[in-house]
Amino acid sequence: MSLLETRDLTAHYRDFQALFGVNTRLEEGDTLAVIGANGAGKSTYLRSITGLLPGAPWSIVFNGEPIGHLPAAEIMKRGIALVPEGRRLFPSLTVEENLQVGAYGRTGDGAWNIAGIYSLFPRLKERRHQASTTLSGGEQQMVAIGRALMSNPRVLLCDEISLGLAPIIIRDIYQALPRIKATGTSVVIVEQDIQQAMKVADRLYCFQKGRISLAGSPAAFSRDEIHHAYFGTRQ
Amino acid sequence: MQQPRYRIETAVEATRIFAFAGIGLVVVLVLLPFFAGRGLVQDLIFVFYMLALAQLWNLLAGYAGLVSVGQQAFVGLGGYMLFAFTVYGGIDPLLAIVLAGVVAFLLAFPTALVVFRLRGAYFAIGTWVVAEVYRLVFAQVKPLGGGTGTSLSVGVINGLFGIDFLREVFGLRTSLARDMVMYWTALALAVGTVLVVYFLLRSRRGLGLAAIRDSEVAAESVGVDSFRTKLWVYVLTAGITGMVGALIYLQTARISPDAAFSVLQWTAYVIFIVVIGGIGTIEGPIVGVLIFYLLQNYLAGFGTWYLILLGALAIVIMLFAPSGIWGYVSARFNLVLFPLRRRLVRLNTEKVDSGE
Amino acid sequence: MNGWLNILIQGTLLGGLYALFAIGLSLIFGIMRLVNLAHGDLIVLAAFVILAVMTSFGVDVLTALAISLPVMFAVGFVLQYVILNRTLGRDILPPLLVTFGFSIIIQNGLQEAFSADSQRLSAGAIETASIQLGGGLAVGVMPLLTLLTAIGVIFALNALFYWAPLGRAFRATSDDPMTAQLMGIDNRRIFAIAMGIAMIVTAIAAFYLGIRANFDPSIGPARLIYAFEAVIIGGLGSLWGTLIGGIILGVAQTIGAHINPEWQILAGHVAFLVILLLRPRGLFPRAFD
Repeated sequence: MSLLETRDLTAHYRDFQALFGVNTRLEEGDTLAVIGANGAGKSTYLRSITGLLPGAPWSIVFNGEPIGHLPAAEIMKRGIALVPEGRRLFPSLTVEENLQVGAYGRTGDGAWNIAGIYSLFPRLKERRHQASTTLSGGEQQMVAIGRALMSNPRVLLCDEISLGLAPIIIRDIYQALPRIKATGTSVVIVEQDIQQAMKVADRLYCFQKGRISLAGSPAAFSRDEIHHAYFGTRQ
Repeated sequence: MQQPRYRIETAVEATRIFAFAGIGLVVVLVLLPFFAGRGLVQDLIFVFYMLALAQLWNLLAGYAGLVSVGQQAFVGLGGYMLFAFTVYGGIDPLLAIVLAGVVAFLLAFPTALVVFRLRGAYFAIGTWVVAEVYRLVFAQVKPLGGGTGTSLSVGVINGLFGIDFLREVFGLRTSLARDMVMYWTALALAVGTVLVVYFLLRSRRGLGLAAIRDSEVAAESVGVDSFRTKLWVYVLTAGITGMVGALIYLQTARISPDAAFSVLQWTAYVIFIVVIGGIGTIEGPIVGVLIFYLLQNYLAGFGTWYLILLGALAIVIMLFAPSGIWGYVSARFNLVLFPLRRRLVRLNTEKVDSGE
Repeated sequence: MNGWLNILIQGTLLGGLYALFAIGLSLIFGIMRLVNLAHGDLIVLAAFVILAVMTSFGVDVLTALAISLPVMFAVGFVLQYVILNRTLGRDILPPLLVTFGFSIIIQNGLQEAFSADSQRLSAGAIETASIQLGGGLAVGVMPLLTLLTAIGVIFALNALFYWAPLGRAFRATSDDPMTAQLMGIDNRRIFAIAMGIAMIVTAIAAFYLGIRANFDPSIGPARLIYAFEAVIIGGLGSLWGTLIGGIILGVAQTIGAHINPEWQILAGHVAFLVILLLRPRGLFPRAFD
């Protein structure tokens, strides 16, 4: 049994259909990369899983239970945490408070706590009492990841964590991934940056216009195959 | 291959039928006081001025997004101006109604200067504060009765334009002639308000209003001056509200600050009418005022329970049918009496390659 | 000279009461951007609840307040959870009109239950007790307690906001309700708790209102307006600002009343309008909205 599965997942924004029957599987401990161009449905896929966009119960199955219909707060309590696109830190909270609020709904029984986050991202400790708005983009991204980890999730969803960051910062952030995986957390990485995602992924899904255009192990595909799946050009 | 051609259309079939029916209805209403009893005539005066107030509040809140709970400021102001002009200026009451409207229109500018500094919900309470200021100030004006209020002398009311004419030509009693003149004035104000709102919304400015309602930022980016458009709507409704207020207190012939600036009477009831009927449509307030009239007629005797029922009804409608009764009917039967929505109609029906 | 000092002192103490009116309004606007037009009527409702507890259980006013606090919390929680949560969204009309409807329901419901007669909460000798400051100046014990309570309530609420997980959840939800849900924060519940807390403060305000002056079912809207003025004068989002706003309103009213007793309320409104013209965002606005 997979840890997290989507079964013929569809999603709509009023009259507009964003997802047309998406099937994905995430195994315990694995890292899954979801790539695709702008508007391919990646963010909608995450919004559906996290409950921000409710749907049919059995379209999303977590740990053998249907969760497609549950509200966001309930899904988070079951152990799925999201690092949202654009980081979405709480501006009136300090760095440490942002981390603390990540454990509001769930603390889990894992290794992550404030001290653990500070050892993962030592720079945050120096800035713990600053307002989160005063941080650089990379530091804000670290807070966002730390905040999601504070609940010791079984599944960590990362939405475009490299967006708008310098390559050297992106490298720093991706260096944290092995340590996160080492705690047993399964990870879903949604990226436009194919290179980064491929390096860390055990399994790859490429989205195109709300459908999956490619699925499998990253090593199994040639550059061209991925390119075509990504942009939708005909071979 | 032929390019598709379109035409902008606003009317639907029901609209054209309604336009004729509407003209017929107005003619019947004009002639009605010659046949109807005095009770009905007086009731209809009430219906007309509540309809006018409801249309004006709907224009403000439903179209311009200016949710005011302080329109009683201009009702009371209009009423007091009528008293001032007739009692101290010796002006004919009908002319005084127009002048009261002008005063309300002019005072709406400084009022807007204050309340427009508040946004959204705070604008609402801000307008209420201003209405309270008007009330407290008029309570200090001793020549107009101060805190206890004053009455209009019979001589002033009976000097109303047209009463002598009706008495001589139709041989009516003065009291009946008085009611008829007020009835026609109220009818003219109600119909006039509906037409003003309708043509305003059909105009360029009305299109700007619709844009602001959907997205103020987007509207500004295509050149709609949001501030000026809202200000214009605010002062215009204030002016007409002042005229309605003047008429109301001409009919009542007695004014006091608490009644003239009553939030329940001139705003809560009006909001109720608009919400029940359907906010953001011209038809809604018309439906709403009829329902309100029936409720008032049959249930007002229950006093507090009646008001509790009105409040509960408004809440239920707002929660479960926010577009009101007319919104429901309109959606169900695709019925539009006052066409405001512009639709594209394709003129040539040949199949064209859309390039998909 | 002493006359003006006395006005300043009495006005400041009156401001404590207005601050208590305003804190609940400020709190719920800060957390859920809801402007509650029934706020004044809920203050009056709380006063009647205290009165009803006193008369039906035969307890003193302080015990009645203690019993009323959880009752008012429950009223606020249920009101928010069952009804007001449904009105929240981009459109400002539903919350305004629904709370306006409640204002009318509460006023008339209270009149049906308790009649339109004026009532008062009796607190015994302390009502008239005062402390001599020398030089002919004196402060009433109850007005002084009112101001001190307002300060205490603000300290308590700030402690909640900055030290408790619940307070962090309030602030997070206020910043970004959608992302807050991703933290496992159930917005509907958070809002209901916030309204419950606002109603606790409201009950405290009602306690001092009822001891200080007569009340009847119709006085709610005026209390809403005072509360609103205090919030706007102080600037949205700051409870200390709200306290200062209440004090400015209280002093303005006391000065007005000193010149002409009929000008008390008007003077407060005028002070509000002047500050609104000069400082549209209030005296102590929050850095970001």
